[in-house]
Amino acid sequence: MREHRVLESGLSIYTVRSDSPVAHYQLFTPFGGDILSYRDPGSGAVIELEPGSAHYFEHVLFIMPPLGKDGKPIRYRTDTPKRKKNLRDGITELESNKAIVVNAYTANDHTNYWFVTRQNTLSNLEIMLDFVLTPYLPQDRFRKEQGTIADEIARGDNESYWKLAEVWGQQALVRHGGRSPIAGTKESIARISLEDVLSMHDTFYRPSTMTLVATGNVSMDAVAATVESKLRQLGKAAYSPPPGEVSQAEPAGVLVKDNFGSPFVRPDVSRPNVLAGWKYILEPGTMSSQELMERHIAAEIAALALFTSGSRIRERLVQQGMDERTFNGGNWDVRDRGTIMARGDTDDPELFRKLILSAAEDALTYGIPAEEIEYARCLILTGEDMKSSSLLDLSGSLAGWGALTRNPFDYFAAVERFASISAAEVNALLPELLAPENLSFALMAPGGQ
Amino acid sequence: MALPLEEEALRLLGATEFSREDSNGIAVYANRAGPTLQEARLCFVTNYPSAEEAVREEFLADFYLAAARKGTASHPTMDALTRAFVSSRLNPPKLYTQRWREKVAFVVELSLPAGDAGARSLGQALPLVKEILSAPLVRTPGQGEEVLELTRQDSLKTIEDRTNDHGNHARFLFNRRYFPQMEPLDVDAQKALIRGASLADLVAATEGLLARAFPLLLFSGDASPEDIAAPFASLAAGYSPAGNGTALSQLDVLTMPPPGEPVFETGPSEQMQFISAYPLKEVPAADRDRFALSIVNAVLGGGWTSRLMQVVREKHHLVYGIYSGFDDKRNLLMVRTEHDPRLYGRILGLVQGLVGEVASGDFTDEEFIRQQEQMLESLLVSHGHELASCDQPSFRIDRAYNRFVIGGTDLPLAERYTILAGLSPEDGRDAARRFLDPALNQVFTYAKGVMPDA
Repeated sequence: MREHRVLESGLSIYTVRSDSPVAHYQLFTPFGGDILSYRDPGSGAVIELEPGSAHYFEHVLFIMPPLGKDGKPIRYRTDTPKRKKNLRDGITELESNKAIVVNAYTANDHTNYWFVTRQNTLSNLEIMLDFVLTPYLPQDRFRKEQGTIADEIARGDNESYWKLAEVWGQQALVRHGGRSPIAGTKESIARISLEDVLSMHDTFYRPSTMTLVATGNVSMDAVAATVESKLRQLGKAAYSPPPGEVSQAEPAGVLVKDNFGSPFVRPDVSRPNVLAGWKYILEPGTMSSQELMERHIAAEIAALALFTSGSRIRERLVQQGMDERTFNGGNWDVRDRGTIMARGDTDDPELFRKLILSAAEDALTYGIPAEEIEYARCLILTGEDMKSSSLLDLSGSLAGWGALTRNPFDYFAAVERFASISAAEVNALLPELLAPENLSFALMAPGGQ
Repeated sequence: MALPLEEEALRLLGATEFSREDSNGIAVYANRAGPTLQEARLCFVTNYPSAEEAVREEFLADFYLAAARKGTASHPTMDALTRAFVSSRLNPPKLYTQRWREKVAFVVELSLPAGDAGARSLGQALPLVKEILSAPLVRTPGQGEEVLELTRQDSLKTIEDRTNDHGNHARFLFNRRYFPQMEPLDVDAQKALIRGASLADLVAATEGLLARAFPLLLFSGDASPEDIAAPFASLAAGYSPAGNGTALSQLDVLTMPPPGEPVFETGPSEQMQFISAYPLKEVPAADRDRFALSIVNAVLGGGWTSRLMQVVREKHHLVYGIYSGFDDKRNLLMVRTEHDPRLYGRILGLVQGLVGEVASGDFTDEEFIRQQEQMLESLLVSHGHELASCDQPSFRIDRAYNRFVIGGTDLPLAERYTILAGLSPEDGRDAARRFLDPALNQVFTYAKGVMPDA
């Protein structure tokens, strides 16, 4: 059973009740790694952020104030003392209250705090609301988090597969925040200030900006009552308008069409690998939810029909020289942009380019054949059948659509639309999704020490 | 001071159990699950005389499978095969091999729709699986040679690619050195085996594996187990598997050679892959000891609230993550992380200090009980490779596979729950002191550059 309720504070709650031994709660804000500037709703000033800001904040938001002698959280005059001992943290508090899995992630278009629990569901929800909605950031502790994040960045840098995607983003995006990695760089995180972070919280973590999704063994009435009560306790029950969404004004065209003349070189790859991708830009400020959904759906179908395993177009590309073992493709999308991509090993990047261009040209000229669109539809719906058995997969999909259209229940509408969209409707959107000027090729090659 | 048993948890865990009822010549382990997706896993399990023979046969069978996936007469490409399944709204089955020392499993894994539709889907999928296994293009005169050579090149590339996954490669090198039964072939030997294999070798290895195997089916769902078992039994019968149930026996406990000086392997990893192994002083014979050690391990490095995470990450901010694991089949406790190579000395010092504390039983009742409670709840949800709860067939099948096929975990979940709940912090301290010796320690690292100055 699905329910949606908006509280007085503006916080949106979505519940999907099912017969599950556990419940999954997630609280997310549409503040992700792509957002590098925003307009402060109070002053109206434009605040510029360092790359990695949203992610840095995700790390430190778990910090909670110590308990006083009475065993209750201390009352504090400032939420940014120079230093403080005996700090608590949200993960420990939740796990100590029998939450089974606790975590958070920063995506390009949202930051999500979540837990899975069987027992103490509502008191665990209160704990999560506590640390997500009330930042407590001792200055020394805030700064020390740099070390942990620097290691997380270094771990990502040590994986060639993801680094090539970063290279592609820097080639394809002109001014969009997605040019920078979500976690930032070692240099950018050193420049993130506590003041900026607190301003971000005031803007992006106000209840009217946030969404709570609870699935499994949950009751909307109980969840809503718990949240209302907690918000009153935190002094956040009144409505305060959310920040307006600001377009990233990403233009058409790419910065670099290819890097074949100067490839990205790594010692830990065994052969050249090319990532080809078309960026497509969405404007949530001017497009309706339906228009956004149509583009996400058409892009997903088109990408699978063109390049994924089982498609006849991919089969032909393999016969023409693509590497059968590694060549694959898909769609990757967030709130205001997406990429239809294809990737594979190749000894001949020029042939790779020629084949990709030829497949795209055919699609734009003649449309993707109906049988290929039908295949992609089958693939997607088969995957959705598999997901439907898992509360935890369902929760992931709800968060994803919650970020894409700001309505988690659009996930269900999207599944229906995947079933009903026609080949003509998909093909009509291809000029937007496969615009030749938005295509960039990133090559990674073995080499170096 | 044991924890109270919670009836609801025991009921939920009890529902994950499988009952065995042999059908049509194969052992069928079945579990009744709710009306969701159903899962079935047909396993051909074989024990070879040695790990080296097992790995050779497994590599060749894997090579055969890779070639078979490239097409059949009626579906002549890899894409055509995928399409044949997906167009019928079926996920392509997973066909793979897995090896644990001398034991090899050849697995056909299928996800099926709920109810009777599951049995109907099987009717569509299994004939195609049979075609892939028995009549792939690679066995067709004229076309087979080209498919074989393409697959050979693919397999060699896959071996190379594995060496670029730094964390996995570090574990591979560690096992090669200390547990050669786990990795009997180095990368060059793996490549040589692939380079030298003929089609006849592949067919002989695959059919030999299947013919000497003990077949069993794991099934969790709401269809009748007999309806699901019959077509699988028919598939299995085609290979006349002659193995018996001894193939399912528990794995022996291995012994690590005496620890020595730290070993620094070099490779292209910018991050230092850090492994610190602590072999136990003796093999714990009693379940209570093994479970007490698993909680002690959780205190040390089982998750966020463990000492390793709280000290190395949260206090000193040196790493993003650091964990320890208790492996009762290798009889050791192993600390793993990756880090900036310049931090090696600091991290080693912290790890050794923390292991020393825990090994001497220097932890609080509160720490022990927190980990114990966390472990009890964690029995109901898996959150490693994927997140699944205990009502899902995939959760149940994974545990049954681990228990019945791998023979790694020998107790039902409800029994594990009962034993874990029955332990006290003093049991943990006693086990830590009896089995852990911080001086028995082997450090192994893998990174680019020169040996660090500890």
